[in-house]
Amino acid sequence: MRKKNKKSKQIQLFFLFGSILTFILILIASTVGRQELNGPQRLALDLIGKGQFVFTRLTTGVANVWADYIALVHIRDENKRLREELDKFKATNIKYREAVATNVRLSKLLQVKDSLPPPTLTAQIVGRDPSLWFRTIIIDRGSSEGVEKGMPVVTVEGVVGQILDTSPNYSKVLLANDPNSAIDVLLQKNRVQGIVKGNGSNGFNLLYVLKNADVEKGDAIVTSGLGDIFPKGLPVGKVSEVTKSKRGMFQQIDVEPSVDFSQLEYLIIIMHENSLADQDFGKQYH
Amino acid sequence: MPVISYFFLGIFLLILQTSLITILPEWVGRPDAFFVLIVFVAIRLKFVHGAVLLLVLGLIMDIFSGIFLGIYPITYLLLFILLHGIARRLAIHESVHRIPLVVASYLFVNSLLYTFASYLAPENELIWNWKEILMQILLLAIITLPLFTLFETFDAILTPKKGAQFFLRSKNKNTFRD
Repeated sequence: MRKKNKKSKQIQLFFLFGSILTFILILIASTVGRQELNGPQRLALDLIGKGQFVFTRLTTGVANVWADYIALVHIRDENKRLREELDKFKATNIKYREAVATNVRLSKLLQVKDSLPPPTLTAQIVGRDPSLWFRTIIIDRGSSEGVEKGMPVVTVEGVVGQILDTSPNYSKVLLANDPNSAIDVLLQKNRVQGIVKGNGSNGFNLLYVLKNADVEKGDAIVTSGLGDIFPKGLPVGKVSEVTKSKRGMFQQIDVEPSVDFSQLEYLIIIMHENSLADQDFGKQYH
Repeated sequence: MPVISYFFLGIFLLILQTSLITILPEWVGRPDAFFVLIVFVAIRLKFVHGAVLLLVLGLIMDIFSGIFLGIYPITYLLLFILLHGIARRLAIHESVHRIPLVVASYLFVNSLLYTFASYLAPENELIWNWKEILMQILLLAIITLPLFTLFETFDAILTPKKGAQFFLRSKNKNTFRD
């Protein structure tokens, strides 16, 4: 009885393995020469692919964590070094920008200096008036370099003021926007004369212009050359507002200076009081 | 010796005031540390010392500011006499009085400068600009207490006796009892 049972089990196993082998053989036979996966292959691919995906993700994750950990060991030093380098480059960049800006300013100044009657002297501002009532500055040129009281001071944009006092190495300049400053000027378009006085802030008033004079907003104002202080033709500003009140003979004219007094840095002192217009005239006719 | 030290401190603050602080943008304002020193000197130093120092500082201020020589020494001397006179009657040395004291002194000095400048050149009209003055007053109100503390420390270093009193003084002293 036992022998019979053993034999039947062997037969069952034989059939089972035979069936599997047959199935595999059929599978192989059916796939030979084809390029597309069949159903079971697709299923296998799908399942194994999932496994691969999970495993790969896990491996990658662990690898990344490890890599990050390794990187963190050095990242602080590298960060510190990079920050130092960045600061250094920023400082260098600021220096370069300042150098370029100074170069531009000085180039413009040089152009103006060439166009002014010689001799001229370039000066730098070293101090400003701290009070609310006066507008003066201190420059780094003095009587030892020939600077004298009354000499005009200009910049690329136009008239700045005139020398008020000097010491051997420094001078005090009365700015044109000081209420105590007065400059003879004329309107460029129709040669109407007037006097520009500072209003104490960053502006001028044009005085003694008769009501019948043609003055409009935007008209350019230049030095007249009268008084032998400023050369003729230097830009002073532009008319910003014209008011004709019923009373009085004159117009009330506000002038926007051509110079920004808050941005002054380098200035030109005109040491010789020749007229620019005279010089041009001389060049043309002599 | 303290007078000379205050003189050099004044020169240092004046240089700061006319160079470094003027670079600040206008909307930030230009705190007048030199003026706070003037007020401090006026209420702290003895009559002769204080008067001489303020006259000298006024003469130097004339060089750096304005076009009329002499108006700063006179203005500072008048401020000194006024503050010295008030100091005898009122407890203006108390810290609570410092800000109003400096602000009132600032208005007094600027009124005098305005009056003198208008008198010396009546044809040149000065404009009393409340916006700028209020801005300066606000800045003075902010810097007065820290600067007074700084000047007191400076004073304590200059005069060892005062220094000892400054560092060892009792907290709740009734100054009106003395």
